[in-house]
Amino acid sequence: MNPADVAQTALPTFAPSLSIWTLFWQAHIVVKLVMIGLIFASVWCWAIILNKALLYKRLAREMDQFEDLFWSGQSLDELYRDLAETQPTGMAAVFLAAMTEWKRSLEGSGKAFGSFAGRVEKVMDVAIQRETERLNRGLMVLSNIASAGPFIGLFGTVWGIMNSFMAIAASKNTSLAVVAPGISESLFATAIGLVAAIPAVIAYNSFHARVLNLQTRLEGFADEFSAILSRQVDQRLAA
Amino acid sequence: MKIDWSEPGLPLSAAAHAALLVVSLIGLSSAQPFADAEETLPVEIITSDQFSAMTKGEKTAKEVQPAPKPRIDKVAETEQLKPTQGADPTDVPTPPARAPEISDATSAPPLPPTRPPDPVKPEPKPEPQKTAEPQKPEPPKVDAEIPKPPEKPQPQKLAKAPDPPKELEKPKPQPPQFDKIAQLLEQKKVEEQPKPVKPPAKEKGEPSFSTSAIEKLLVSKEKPQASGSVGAQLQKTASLGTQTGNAPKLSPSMRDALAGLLKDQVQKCFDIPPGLDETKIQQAQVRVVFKEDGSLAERPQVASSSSDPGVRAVAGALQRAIMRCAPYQIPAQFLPTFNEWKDTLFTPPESLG
Repeated sequence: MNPADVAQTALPTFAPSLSIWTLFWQAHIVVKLVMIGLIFASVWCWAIILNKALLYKRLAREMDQFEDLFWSGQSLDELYRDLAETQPTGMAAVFLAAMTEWKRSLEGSGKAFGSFAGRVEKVMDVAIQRETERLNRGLMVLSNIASAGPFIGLFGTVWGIMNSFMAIAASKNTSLAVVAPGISESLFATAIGLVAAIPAVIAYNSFHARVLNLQTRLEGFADEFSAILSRQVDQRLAA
Repeated sequence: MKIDWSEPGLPLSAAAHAALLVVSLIGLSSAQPFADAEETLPVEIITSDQFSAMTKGEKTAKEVQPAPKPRIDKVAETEQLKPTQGADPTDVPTPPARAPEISDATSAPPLPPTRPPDPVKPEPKPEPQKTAEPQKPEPPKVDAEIPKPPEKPQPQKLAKAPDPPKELEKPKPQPPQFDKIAQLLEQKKVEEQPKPVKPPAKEKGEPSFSTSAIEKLLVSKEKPQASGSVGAQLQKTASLGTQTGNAPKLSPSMRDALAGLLKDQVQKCFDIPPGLDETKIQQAQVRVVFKEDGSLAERPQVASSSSDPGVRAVAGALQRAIMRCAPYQIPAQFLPTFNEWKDTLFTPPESLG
């Protein structure tokens, strides 16, 4: 019998249908767990990406609006009264913290202006930190997925290939048709790991830069506002 | 579940992943198998000259050998003779090698795998063997012994080997065979030799059937090392050529002889231009194309590339001499190798120095 004919007739029975589902289903339990974990990681990672992207966009827009309001010549007391009723974020939160401190310093009999500048800066720093913490929340997860995802996937792959080779040793059959499905399904784990990790890396880097950007803006505003407030205090003390 | 639109990430992401998974299940449901390797026919383009110069041998061999022969790995047990045309084969003496084959035919029952196909086929038609290696027709002596004259012409015509002994076993009258069996039972060694190699291999292979062995065979891309061909004489390395090519080869001695003949004839007409030294004379070359009858197919061309006027003068003189002496007497023994000498380079005859 011609070897080529044998190959033609024999091969189709060897090759199983290699859909993604069968790739997953035939995998070893460890590889399966790795795959499931990575898929969840990917879902989580994208959830954070979407949330953060929306958050940063919203925050930047609110900052723009607030700056417009702030420099529009509107009375700061009015602005404070408007904002006090809401739960402001970003620049407005910093403004609110500083104004609250200002009001408190004015209240009572003894006007506490002695170390007002130092106090208002502290208050605003705390507000900025709170805001930054809110912005940074979740980025750690992205960073973790970005760095660990490929390794987890690789672990699944190594485990799967290890199993394939054990199977080869057990069945004493080195045909590529026997080896290929095992290797293919274990490589699938690395693929999922990369699918999860690549967006995480990109998002983490860009988000990190945006957080720094927003934080600088907040700090700039805080410095400016504290300068305005301390000027007011000095004028009142002089008067 | 209520979606908080200030943080819609998780549900959106989950939905997108689910959708992606579904799409990949449907769209990337199975890997495309590789396209079947298309069978390619290697085509070599050769000139008619090359075609007529093809010698007996193998295509994969490195060079044409002086005595072109195909590779022979094993000396054939039966000497296979080409029947001479018109000769009566009945007079040929019975060869000793015939005996094992007959014993093979009578003791055939232990070899079921080979036999079934044979009786089915009509007897007069000799079945051409399917092995790639061509074999000469069965010796006529085998036929001679069989009392069936009408069958002889057919195996002789076919290039490929018929297998008469097995096919012809039925018509054979039984008694003569038994006589021979009695003689031949002693020669057990001889009896076993002619058995085809394949059937025993098959029988051995079946009990220890293993897929890995088959797979190994399938995977291996090695070409068979030996052709396993048998012939009258061992030939370790094959000559370059084809299985059917049988062009005669101009041997070096014949080539020298022909060159001498031609030079002798040219010398009569050649007048060397005076005042030239030997080195310049020997540089001149003229290319001549002959016809089969020894006349010139075209005007001789000066082939020497030297621009030296002395060399050119000698070449011109030689050219004229060759034209004057044409046609040339070329013995009939050189005619079969016409292709090898029809295009010849001439140098001036040395003796004229």
